[in-house]
Amino acid sequence: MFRYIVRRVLWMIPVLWMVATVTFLMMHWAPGSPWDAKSTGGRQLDPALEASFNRQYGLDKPLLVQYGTYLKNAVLLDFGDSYKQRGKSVTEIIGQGFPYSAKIGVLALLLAVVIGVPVGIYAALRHNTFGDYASLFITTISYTVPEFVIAIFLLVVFSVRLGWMPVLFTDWRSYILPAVALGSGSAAYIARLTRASVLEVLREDFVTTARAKGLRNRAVITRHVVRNGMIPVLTVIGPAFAALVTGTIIIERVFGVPGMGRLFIDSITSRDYPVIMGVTLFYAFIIVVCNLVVDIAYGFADPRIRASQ
Amino acid sequence: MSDRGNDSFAEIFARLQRGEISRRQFMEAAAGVGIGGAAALFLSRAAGVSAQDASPAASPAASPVGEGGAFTLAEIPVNPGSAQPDADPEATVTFNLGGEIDSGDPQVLAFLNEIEVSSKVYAPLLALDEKNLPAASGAESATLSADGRIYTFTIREGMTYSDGTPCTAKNYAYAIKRALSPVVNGNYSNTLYAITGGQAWREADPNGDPAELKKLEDVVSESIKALDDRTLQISLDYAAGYFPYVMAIWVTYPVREDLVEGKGETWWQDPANYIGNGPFKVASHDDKQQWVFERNESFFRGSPGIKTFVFKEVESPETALLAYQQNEFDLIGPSSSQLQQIEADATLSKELQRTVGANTYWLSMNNSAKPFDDVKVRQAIAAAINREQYIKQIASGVGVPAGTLLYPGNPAYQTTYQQTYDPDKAKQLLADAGYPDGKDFPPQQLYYVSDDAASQQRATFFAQNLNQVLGIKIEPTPIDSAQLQSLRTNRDPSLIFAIGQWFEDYPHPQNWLSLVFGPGTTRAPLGWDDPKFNELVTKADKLPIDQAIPLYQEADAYLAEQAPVAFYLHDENLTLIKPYLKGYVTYPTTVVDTTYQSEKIYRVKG
Repeated sequence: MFRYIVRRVLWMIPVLWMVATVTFLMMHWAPGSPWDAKSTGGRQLDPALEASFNRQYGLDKPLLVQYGTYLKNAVLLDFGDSYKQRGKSVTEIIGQGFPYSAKIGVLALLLAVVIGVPVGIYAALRHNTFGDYASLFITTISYTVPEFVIAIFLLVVFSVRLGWMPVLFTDWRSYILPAVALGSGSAAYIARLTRASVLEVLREDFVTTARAKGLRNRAVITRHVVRNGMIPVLTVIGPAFAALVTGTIIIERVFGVPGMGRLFIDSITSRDYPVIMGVTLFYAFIIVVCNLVVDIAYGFADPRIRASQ
Repeated sequence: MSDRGNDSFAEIFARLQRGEISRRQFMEAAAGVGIGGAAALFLSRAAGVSAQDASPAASPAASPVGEGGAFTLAEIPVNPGSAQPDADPEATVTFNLGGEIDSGDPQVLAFLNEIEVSSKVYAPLLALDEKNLPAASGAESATLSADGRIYTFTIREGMTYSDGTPCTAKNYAYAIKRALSPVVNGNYSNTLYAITGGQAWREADPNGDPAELKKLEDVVSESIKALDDRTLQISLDYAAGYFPYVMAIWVTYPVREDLVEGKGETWWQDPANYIGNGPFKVASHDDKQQWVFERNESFFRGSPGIKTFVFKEVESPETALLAYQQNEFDLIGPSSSQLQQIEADATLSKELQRTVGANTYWLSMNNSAKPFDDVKVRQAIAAAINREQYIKQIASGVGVPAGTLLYPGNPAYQTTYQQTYDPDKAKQLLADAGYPDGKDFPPQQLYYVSDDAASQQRATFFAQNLNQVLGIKIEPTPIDSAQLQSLRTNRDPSLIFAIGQWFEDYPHPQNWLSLVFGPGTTRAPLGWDDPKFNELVTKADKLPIDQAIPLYQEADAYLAEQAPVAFYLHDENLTLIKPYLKGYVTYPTTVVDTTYQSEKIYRVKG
């Protein structure tokens, strides 16, 4: 297992290098520049000012030189300063927003798992009953209604009508509604995946064998069905975790969360190259780490996978 | 004395701007109330005599005469909110800032939210009063040399920073010079290019020859000089009547050398460095959440009415409106898409206020390409646009029809000539140009940004509108925003028909007429380089605002008539404000001024 982990960690290097290179090229090939009117809030800079900004940030140098400088600094975890938030390093920007996004993301994932898994198991065990149909209906709604609508709905109900939560982001209570809004879609997805997976396992021969051997239903379900049914769920939890903890622009915008969700979109719109690169690499790193954790978790869920690793 | 005689000069001046009185009536009325200077200058212009011939003794408000003279500055009354009997002395007021600021450095910043934050902390060298006329601020008076090139400002006596340190001419000199530094690399440095040596130093390579850089810097140091603690002298390359307006923007905020130097580009993020001479001082700042200000009791126009001024940062207009309804905000600027919802609500509709924005939108035509090289075609397009319908259908009812470049509220706004919707005239003009009912008119493409639904709606509207009225074929064509920007920036001749706009930096007509359509501009459509227009604005740019206005008005009317573009919209600013907020001053484009006179706002007790 240790060798496997080391090998996977070493694999991260070429993966991240590839991500960095492709992002760098796409970013520079895309039309527009950080000093376009669109990037500067509608104000077209004079060519002389534009030249001074290019000079300040080394954008007047050949692309290959820029790439070399970028890679050299990235190895030292120095992604440079944002063009937009002048004087602020990308690491500082990510460092400021990530804790907020991560807190909400972890809460959302917990919510998704705590609600999604039991609902999925319940629906599978009550296959084709009212309970199954009801859960199917609710999860379909949760999954298909846009996050934006759920977010506004929650604000109207819990902040405006009931007055239980502040509308603006103020204290610990302000984490609850964003987590619910963010987690509801994932909960629905996990519930549906769990249901399908458990249904499939229920039809497996080893389940029939366990029952034939006289094992109690509870033991069959907990020891065999749920444990095996969780493997596909584990697969999606990794990327879901990465997506949730890095924030989403919609949720953060509606609830005024000072997270990093909007960074990605904002940096692309304003062609803030250092932030685009930093956020992309950070996101790629989290995905790779989450996938590694999931792969390790497979081993605990199913010893056969551990043996093959 | 007649009723008119009882009016202040500013009121008479405003009437002139609104077109309610003629220039002759203005001069008579001004003379009637003893405002001889401006009137004499108008009369001297009318009589063809030079400014030097006008009597310098006519008025203390005289424009540059003889060896130089006092430069007219309006007075902002001292009437702070804290002095109001019904004011709550412990009031906390929360406004929506929108997004987090990218920079709070006055010599770097560029965006409205950044101006909001920095204007709480600092006071500019000059201010603008509610009629957008230059007024005293950090400088209590000013003189201008006879050639219009040397401004000498007298800094307010006894003015201090919020920590008690005196604020002197040296501080303003440092700040204004800093705005031109190539190392600081400010976004609005070019507004100061009239200062002798300013442009050369600003555009120099900061990594270039240090000796050369020093030489360039020395020229600027000589041009921006603190003669003593209370006297600041600024020398210009040429007479620039708009210069007092530039002295009223954020580039002049007197940041302190001891709090800035050696502290990096983010010096302003530490409240210990962000200390100014403005009405408030920073109490705390939580990144992407809020700025909290406390009143500066030593502010030179009196202690502000609000004890704690909070800017929360909420980008979603839906959330901001909900928070306003829950009294978590006291003032917000709702989006145009919320107008219908607000108007349908009994409470909100009473709290809504609207002002015309300092912006103008237009359809731009390549004046050097057929068929738009014919003025009749351009005039036909301008007369064919149904502006009212556009506002109703596309702009959610927000905005006013634009018939000219300058918006109502700009000092040189005129009504002598406005482009208006007149379908019969449009048809006739097009027929006169050789395209009766649009026959043989070459089809045109009107680009819209491919990922912007509003842009597509706009292009589709104009295509249908022009087709209905003129019978011409316009094809809405999607394009990537960066590609469209590149066509604009490079002045690509293939861009024949496009949408353009301008947002004001400062409310002087030079910022509109000269910068956007004047000589050497890259912002006007291709082919527009009109000698008559250029002459008018070049002349006007050199004059003080009161003398320049008639020329700018003439230029604005001429521009609308020549129609290098077809103006269609001035956007509106919507403001929701709680009824318990009082004392605020309304400017032509802002319901609640928080830039120049925020000390007057207060919250009623109870």
